[in-house]
Amino acid sequence: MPITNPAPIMYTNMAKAADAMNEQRQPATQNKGLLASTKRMTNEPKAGKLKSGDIAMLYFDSIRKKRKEIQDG
Amino acid sequence: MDEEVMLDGPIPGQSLTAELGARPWQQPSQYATVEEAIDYYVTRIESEEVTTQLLDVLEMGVPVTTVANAMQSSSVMEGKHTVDVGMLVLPVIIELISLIADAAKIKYTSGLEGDDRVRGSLVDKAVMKLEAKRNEEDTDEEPENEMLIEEMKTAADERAGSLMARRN
Repeated sequence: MPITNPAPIMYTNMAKAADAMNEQRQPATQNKGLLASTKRMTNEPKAGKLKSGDIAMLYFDSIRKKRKEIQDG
Repeated sequence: MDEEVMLDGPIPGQSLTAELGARPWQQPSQYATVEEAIDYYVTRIESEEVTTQLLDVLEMGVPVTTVANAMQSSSVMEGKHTVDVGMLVLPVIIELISLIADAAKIKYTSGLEGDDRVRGSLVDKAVMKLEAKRNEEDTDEEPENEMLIEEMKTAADERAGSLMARRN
């Protein structure tokens, strides 16, 4: 890996971050009825509050999933 | 003199001879956000002309990471987006190019092979060169090379340790 090309290290970092994000995302459980919580679910990102890196990671993850689908056939 | 002196390189301070703001990268970027930059790349890469050229380059054996880095750095020079946006967009470009190559079912080099271990210093490069040389040479000289590698590794560790100490 040449020192002048940051692409491999950026790719590896983003792939790791995307994997970690996917692991952290748990299936959202909702209590309906009177016991329903009015609090926002913590795993859900607040609208309009995403950082640039998170946006890039979401794009990255979706393209990666598409590529896996193509590879699997 | 064994080596020729390079006379066609830039003169020190040459980069400061143009008026400030005369270069595209000294102007506000065309695409300010990551989303805008990704939209720009998706449209550009998806166009038939670029796709054909991309696939040709990949088939020639040029790694995807090299192509992606060239694309983003040239866009920075053209004033399309800033360097930091370029860094964030870089993995997305790699994935996009890989997606197109996979869809076209061509063989390509990703440029990500063997990146699992932590590396990235000149010492590491020297160690790799020594290892390659060792494989070529006879087995008699192996202990000497191994000693050299060990020495370089300890030197690198010491250097890293001193850097950490300085930071603290």
